[in-house]
Amino acid sequence: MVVDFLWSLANVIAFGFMGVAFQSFSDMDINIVPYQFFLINTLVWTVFSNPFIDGAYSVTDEASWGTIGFMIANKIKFEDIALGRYFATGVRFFIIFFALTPLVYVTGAIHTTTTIFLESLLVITILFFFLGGIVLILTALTIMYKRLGEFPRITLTIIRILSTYFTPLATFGRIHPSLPNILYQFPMTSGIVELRKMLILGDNSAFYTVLRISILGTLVVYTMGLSLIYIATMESKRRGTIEKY
Amino acid sequence: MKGIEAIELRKSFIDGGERVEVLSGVTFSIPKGSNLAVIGPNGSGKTTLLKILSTILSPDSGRAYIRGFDIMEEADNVRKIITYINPEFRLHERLTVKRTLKFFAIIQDVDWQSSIPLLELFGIKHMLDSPVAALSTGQKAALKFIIGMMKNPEVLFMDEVFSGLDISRVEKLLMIVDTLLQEKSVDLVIVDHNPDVLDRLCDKVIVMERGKPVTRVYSTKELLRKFDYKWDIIVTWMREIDQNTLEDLKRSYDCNCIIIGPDRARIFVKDDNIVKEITDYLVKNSRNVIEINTSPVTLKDLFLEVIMKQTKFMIDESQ
Repeated sequence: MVVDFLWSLANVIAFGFMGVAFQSFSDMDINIVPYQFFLINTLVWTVFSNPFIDGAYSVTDEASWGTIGFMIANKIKFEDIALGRYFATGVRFFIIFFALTPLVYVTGAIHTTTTIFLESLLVITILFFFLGGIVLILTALTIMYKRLGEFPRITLTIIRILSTYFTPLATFGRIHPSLPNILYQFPMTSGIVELRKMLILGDNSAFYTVLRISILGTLVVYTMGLSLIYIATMESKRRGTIEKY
Repeated sequence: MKGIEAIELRKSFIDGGERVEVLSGVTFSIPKGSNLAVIGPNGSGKTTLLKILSTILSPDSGRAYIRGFDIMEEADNVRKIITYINPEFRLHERLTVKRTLKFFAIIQDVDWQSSIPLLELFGIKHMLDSPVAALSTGQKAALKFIIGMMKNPEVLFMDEVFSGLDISRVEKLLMIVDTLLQEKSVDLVIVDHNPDVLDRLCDKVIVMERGKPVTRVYSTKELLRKFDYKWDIIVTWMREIDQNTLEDLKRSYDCNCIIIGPDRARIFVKDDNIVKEITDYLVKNSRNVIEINTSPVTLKDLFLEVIMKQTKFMIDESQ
């Protein structure tokens, strides 16, 4: 009940924030019209959302089948379960992404060259890997604290908001002037901002900056995720709760 | 060559804010080629022991070796040669038998077709393309066993795999499992509440009780010799058990009574001479007795006595 209330409240706040942002469209730091903004965001996030949820809940789901013990006794690690599910669902949604791209192209939202389109695919792939690292961290929390409830979905929504899915980066400057610059260092934020520029405007000037930020971020979250899973697994084996979720 | 060795294994859990010691120093050693039954009342740590030996849980202290591999230091080597099947293990009902086998073959890094001879043996090869939902309970239990045997383990840990099966299915599964274990030289460590299963499959036994150390392995013959009781009297009443008669018997004779159903009880007797006295007493004093069977105790009776011990069915001195 409380979680449902918070979820509804978050939606009201998010869409209220969006309304304010788009009332003064001058906040847009680039020349992008709203329909392009939302179409590209939706297209790119097609790849991320479902694999993230599948991966984050994979251990809980596997435990409901009673196969966790069997898997551990067969050298299958929790990161294998989570990433296996994440990448398997990811392949499905990459295929859907490729099926949707021509439709979005027809609407006129995509104005780019083949080279820049391929570069944007590389950025999407690295961001996909980055979110896999976040899934690992959530998996570690699952092993440690068992049922996370709506926490993975809330995490996904927060990442969406921070990635400028709902509003342009410049609108965050209203909260604090330095916030857009800080947020830009978050791989999902800089990635989505620059993907819009690459796909809508054909502007790849920040391509290497985005690569650097996203690869570094990916290394950090994987290191954190794998370390936390190791610690959580050892602790859970010690407590005797490794199969209980 | 040592098959499985445990040295002073200890494990405790936090339960309701209190630390409860489940394993209080388990020490045993069995040679390769043994089939071990782990018996004891509920909550005595049988499943915990199996999970520690199969590297799923870690002990608080102590060491254990499977075929010479340390379960903590060389867990990956242990995992190569063992399979663990537990009662919570469920199969996806909508997957076909073949896809289920392929899935578990990938997990175990083996070819799924290695299971075909076993499918033939269990008579379910023709159901390869059927969904798991179409299998009977016995066939599902067989499928779980086949999954467990896919990678040709050297040691098989089975935790109540036979639970929930009726007598005929248990019998059919037992016949095949017994033959297979001998043919493939797989060592078995099993927890099961069905004395028939343990009696048929195992030649070694460890007896567990919560809070007490385990210090030795018994051969089943040795355990039978140690068993105090020589005779087993099964009494059936017309409707329900006559508790008063049982308590009178307990007071008057050197025997142990275990209730095994709403209308049936087992009476274990030490002395040959008392058997006749007890049957006479039952005939004379308990009106609703409809059947009395006497027989020498078997290993099955022993398992039953140990398993039922400390449960509500036990009529002990304090009652």
